[in-house]
Amino acid sequence: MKKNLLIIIAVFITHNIMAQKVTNTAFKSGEKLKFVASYNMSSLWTDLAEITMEVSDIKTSSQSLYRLKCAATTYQAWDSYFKIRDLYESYVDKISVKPFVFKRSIDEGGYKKDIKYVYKWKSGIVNATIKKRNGSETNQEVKITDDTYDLVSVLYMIRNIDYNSKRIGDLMNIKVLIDANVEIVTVKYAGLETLNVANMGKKKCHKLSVSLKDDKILKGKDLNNIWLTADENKIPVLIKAEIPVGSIQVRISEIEL
Amino acid sequence: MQNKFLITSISILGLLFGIVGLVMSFLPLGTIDLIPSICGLFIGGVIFLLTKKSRIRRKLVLSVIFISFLAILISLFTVLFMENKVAEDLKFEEKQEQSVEEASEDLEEALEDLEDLEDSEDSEDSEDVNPE
Repeated sequence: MKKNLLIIIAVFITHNIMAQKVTNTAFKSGEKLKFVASYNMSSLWTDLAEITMEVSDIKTSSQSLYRLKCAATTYQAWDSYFKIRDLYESYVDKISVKPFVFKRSIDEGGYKKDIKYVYKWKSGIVNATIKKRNGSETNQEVKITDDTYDLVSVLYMIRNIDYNSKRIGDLMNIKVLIDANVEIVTVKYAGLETLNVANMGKKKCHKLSVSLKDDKILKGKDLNNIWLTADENKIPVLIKAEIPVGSIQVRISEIEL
Repeated sequence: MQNKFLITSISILGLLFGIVGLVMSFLPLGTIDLIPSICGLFIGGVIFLLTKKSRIRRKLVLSVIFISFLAILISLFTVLFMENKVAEDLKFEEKQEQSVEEASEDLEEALEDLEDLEDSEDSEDSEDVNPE
């Protein structure tokens, strides 16, 4: 559980948008999605935590942006054994979903770590600040290109991709900043499937298979999947990931659009 | 004699499964904690049937069955009737609000850099339009 849940979610969600510009039509301020994260072992499961994803407006002196917030909290029953309070935020452009600031603050069973990225698009760099629980702070510059996202913005960016024009087996790549390193994630479009979705009934969903070039976090190929509703909102409704010790499933429980 | 030893050994194994299952049934492990309890109940049941016609005392076997059954009941009760709830955590909520305030300075810095980029792009465009 040291690798937190949101990393697993986010590495699922990638795409190559090098040649295409994103225009956000999938989400807006006020959207709130709730998920249940479960650990699976031989088809037996246990619910571990609740994950909420919220979109809100934020005003700066020159622009109005979206604050994309993802928070993971363990259920009360788990708090005495392994308490998780993770907060991930990305401040993005309302139309292009381009991130400006990313913040990650994790507290997993006493293991604490804070990461902050400040994007300098003109210089093509990200100023990354990493704070560890012993109080040590490191600053580093990471070179980025126009198509580099962070763990949160990538989750929202992929909701703006036109999957209807994709064919089964189409491969896509995207660069995601994970722990101040640019990782390349490969996504394979795996077609349409019908799923039972919380308070939406049966819905057709786009299935995407995700793999990391370096399998540090995820195990196997085509074993890690995400399903997005095949409508204009492309809501992530189910995520399944194989990790070195079992598998993780994240399913949607509440939708507020 | 040998049979008795074997049956006692297997019963102790069943008892261990039952105890582990009982302990796990109090943890929030969902259906996973059913695994040792079911193993204990299975072992207990098989030994019970095998020793039905023998003179071997079955107190231990009955304990295995009872403990495993109790563990299964507790597990099923927690899975079916205990609702998953997130505790109210004011500290975490405060942290989330505070985080927005802390981000404002960084946002200004990032947007300033973007404005520079837009300005330079605009001047390049105007140079294209007016080459002189």
